[in-house]
Amino acid sequence: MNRDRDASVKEYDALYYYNDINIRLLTYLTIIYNSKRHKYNLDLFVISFNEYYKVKTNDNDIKRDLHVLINYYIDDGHSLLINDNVLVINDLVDIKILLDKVITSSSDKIKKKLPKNGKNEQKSIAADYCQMMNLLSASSETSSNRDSNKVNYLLSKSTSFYKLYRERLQHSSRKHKFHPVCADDQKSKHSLKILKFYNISLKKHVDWSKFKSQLTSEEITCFSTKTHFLPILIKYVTDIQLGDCSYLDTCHKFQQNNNNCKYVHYYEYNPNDNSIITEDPKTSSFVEFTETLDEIDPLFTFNVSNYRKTASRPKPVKCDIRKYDFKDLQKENFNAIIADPPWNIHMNLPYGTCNDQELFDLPLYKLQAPKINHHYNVFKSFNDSSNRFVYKKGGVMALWVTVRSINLGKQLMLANGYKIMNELSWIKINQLCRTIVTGRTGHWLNHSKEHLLIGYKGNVDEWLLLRQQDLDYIVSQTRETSRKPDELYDILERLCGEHSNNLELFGRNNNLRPGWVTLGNQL
Amino acid sequence: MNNYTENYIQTNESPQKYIRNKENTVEGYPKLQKLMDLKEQQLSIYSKKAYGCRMNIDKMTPYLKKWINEYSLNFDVVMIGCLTENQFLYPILRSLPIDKLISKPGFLFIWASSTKINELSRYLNEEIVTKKFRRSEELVFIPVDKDSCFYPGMANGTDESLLDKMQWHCWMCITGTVRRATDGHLIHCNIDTDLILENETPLVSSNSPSTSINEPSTYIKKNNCVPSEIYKIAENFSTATRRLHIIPGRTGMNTPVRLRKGWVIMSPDVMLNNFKPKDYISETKELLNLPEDPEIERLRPKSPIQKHKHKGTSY
Repeated sequence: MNRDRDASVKEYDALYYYNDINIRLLTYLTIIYNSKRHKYNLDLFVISFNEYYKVKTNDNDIKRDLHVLINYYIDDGHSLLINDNVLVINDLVDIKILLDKVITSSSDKIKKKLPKNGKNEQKSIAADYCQMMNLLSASSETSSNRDSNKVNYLLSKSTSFYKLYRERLQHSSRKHKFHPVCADDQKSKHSLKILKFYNISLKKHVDWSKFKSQLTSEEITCFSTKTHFLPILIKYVTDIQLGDCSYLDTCHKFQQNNNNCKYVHYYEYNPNDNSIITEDPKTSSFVEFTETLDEIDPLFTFNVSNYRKTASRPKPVKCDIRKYDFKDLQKENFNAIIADPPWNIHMNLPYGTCNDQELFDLPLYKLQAPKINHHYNVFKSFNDSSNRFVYKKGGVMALWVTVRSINLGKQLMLANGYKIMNELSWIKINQLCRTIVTGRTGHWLNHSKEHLLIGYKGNVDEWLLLRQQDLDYIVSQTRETSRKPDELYDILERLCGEHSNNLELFGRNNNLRPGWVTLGNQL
Repeated sequence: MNNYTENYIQTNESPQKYIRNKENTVEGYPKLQKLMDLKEQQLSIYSKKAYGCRMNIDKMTPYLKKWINEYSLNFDVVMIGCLTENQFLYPILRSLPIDKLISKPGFLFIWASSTKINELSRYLNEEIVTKKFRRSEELVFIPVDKDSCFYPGMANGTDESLLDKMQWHCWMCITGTVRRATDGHLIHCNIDTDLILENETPLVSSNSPSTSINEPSTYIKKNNCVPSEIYKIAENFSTATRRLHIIPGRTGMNTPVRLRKGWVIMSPDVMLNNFKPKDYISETKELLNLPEDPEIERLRPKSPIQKHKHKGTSY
């Protein structure tokens, strides 16, 4: 009896092999792989493998299978390594491809074998295979996919940290008035109606509730709460057939004389301020006592700078950044840095540009230098020689780039010790809240957006706990040439704390802001 | 000026909710609208057939290599990747002789999540440069909101990410020489922009009978692993008719691989398998580029004619 069972167990075991590849082992590698920690003690690996599959496979068998994988199947010899007694997984690409191949060809084998005898154990093997398949095709929506859906669902839920910080942010009142813009104004249906009652030159307030007989109730609520754009039609000048002016409210011709531009311009009609909630600008910024009676660490507002008030006045420093001595800045512990370098884009621009070498020569590595306060050997017991450093601080860096310099920007940040975490897009809109589509703004395609690289130095978990509140794009109206949206300051201050100590490189007068040190040659 | 970022924090309304030209990007510009319509008409006249090539991911490179060598199969526009995670982008790019697959001049589009593109950028750069491609534009696609089938989701956002990730990125690369000013028979520049916003047209299942083709303005969008706007950018830019789309990943039922006229779509999940390289070559050799249309020529944005020849900056 026992012997029979042993034999059958061996037969099932054989199902986990494809030629000489151990499929379970492959699967297990993808399960345990974690990009932050990729070194595993081999003995522990074997124990956990057995524990996971509830089997008692011989240590040597597993080690042999590992060596088979590395020597015969993994292409470049970098993704999987065994040093002494440490297993190193560098990347999973090869392993996943191999697993895909192996499973597709061996699942046929399983199907053939299964119908013969319908024992429970075999069912569990089939379930095992389903699980393996799921690991590969996590995007397929089959019913056997529930586990991975569950995991995805749990992982996609926001943390209490996130929710509580958002709640706190929502308690601070708005800094800016917000007029929702009417989105159903198809073919100016609404705005032409408004024009019947509203005179642009008189700017006299209209009480829409008086016109109940002439307007529908939807129209009344829309007109009295949302912004509309009223076409300015000048007799014998405006040619509706031509369409909208590309420059709209920034059209120089129109500003000089309304008769100079034949294209359609618009007047922004904001409903009366009384009908929407208004906030007093004085109470807008979040007031919190800087000193608490007891020295307690707040639980979820973890940012140091959130409760310690630092420099508040804007500090302009006029200098040529290329020749500036960064020693003075080095002492400061900046939380966030914005840099908008004048990349040389081989075009005539109204300001001087820096060549790439000059930017790479900037000693940016001196800024936000993380202080290594102690380091210890994590793998001491595992015979691993690499040291892990624990960083005390560090900071966030936001770098504006052009399409040509995306790559240079990434190199520049990497060379100065930053890890690139996000690429933010600024979606440029015009007066009418439309994306900018005209004007040959790019070489091959028109450009409706600009790019900002965001990276950090140091250990995020130590002080940047309030992340992912903001989206990785900004929708904002364009202003003067090369002037960037102010929303970025708010995003960085939400990230690093309201009273954080920040630095802007290559800034101009309109960049001056409380809490920020601004460096630039045009100040 | 409204601050849509602050509004998002306060109300969770996504900023692009208020962008007013999502449905029709060229709203308010009749000349551009006409151009777009003409381009669409011309394309629908000349792209008659949709090709699907169902193939496992590990077979893609060997077969394409075989076809290049045996039939000298060539494409002018090649797109790799779609808007899903779990794509084997790097293995395909590494093993595929794209420089031989794409004719010169030719255009390459690589789509992936922003995280993936960033992770692969160093390796991709080396591959691309050694295969003689130039990175020319960076395209971005943003889904309507987090309920969209194109929301990159948790697969996209690592825990360390500082911002909430919503974007998909694309590298647009060019090989060979094309000049904006003189090669109007090959490329039409500055028609589309480098940003695509998903519009809010509700997704409709494929078996819905009333998909009106007559009215392009009320066109009902089907869910697909590739939004049609992405194909459109490539079609509007290059006049070439031989277009290939490689999807190196399984995409699942919610985002199926649909066919598109004028494209060969290679994927393990594509719904039709009708591609034969020999037939394809004989069917396409008649017309490699769309003919010049005088009306389109008149309307499309062109480089200003340069008066001073001594300034050697030619575009």
